[in-house]
Amino acid sequence: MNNLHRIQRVSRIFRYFFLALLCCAPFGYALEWIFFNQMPQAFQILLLPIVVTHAELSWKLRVIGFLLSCLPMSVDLFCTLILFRLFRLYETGKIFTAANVRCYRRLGYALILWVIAGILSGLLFSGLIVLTDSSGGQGAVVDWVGMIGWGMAYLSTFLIGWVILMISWVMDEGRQLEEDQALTI
Amino acid sequence: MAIIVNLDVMLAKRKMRSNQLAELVGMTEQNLSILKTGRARAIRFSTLDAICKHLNCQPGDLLEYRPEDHDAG
Repeated sequence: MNNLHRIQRVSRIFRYFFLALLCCAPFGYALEWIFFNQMPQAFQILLLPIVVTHAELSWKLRVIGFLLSCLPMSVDLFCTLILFRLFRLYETGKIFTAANVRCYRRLGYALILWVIAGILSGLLFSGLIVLTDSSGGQGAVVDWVGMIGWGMAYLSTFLIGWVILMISWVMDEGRQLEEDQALTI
Repeated sequence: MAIIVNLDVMLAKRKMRSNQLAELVGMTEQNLSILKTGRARAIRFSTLDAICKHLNCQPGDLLEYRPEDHDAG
């Protein structure tokens, strides 16, 4: 029983954390795009999988950048919502139920979707920067080499997504075995 | 599931209450309720043996196979 109380106590803390993240993340993204030009490159690359060098982004490009980053951001928020729900289940003492399995499965699919959304938004924004550069190559430049790092991050996330899907499947099979055992009289 | 447990019928025939049978067999009333309501996934031979012994009946008196609609024919 003590173990369950400990799980519930820690889960409550995480649940509040993810709730705060859900509320604050969209504002954080918006602020980052507003102050994009003032940010160091190391932080710029957190917003989109591109490295923009040599110039500042116009406000129009920043608005479009924010709208495009809504693609991966919405998946981020969906993942945060899943984690919020998962820890709420842990807080109510539900550890290995079908609802927990659904959370893990959705998280796995969401991570894979995040990779697709990130690549798509990165490509769209990169293309936009190249198309709108009217200063003879002296404007904003996409550092394609810098995107290799993002490629590795995407690959890792994709693999982690698949691993989580496998874990959810095993967890579901185990849950059914446990249920069969409990209902064997 | 197509297996029906007619425990209620046998309890009525033997004029025994569920809690009495549960105590005699050595199982909880909740488990007996799971068996009566058809929610059980499996039954151990030892449990079936004990129930038949205390209700003085055959396994066939307790268990009935009734094909489901999509299995018929």
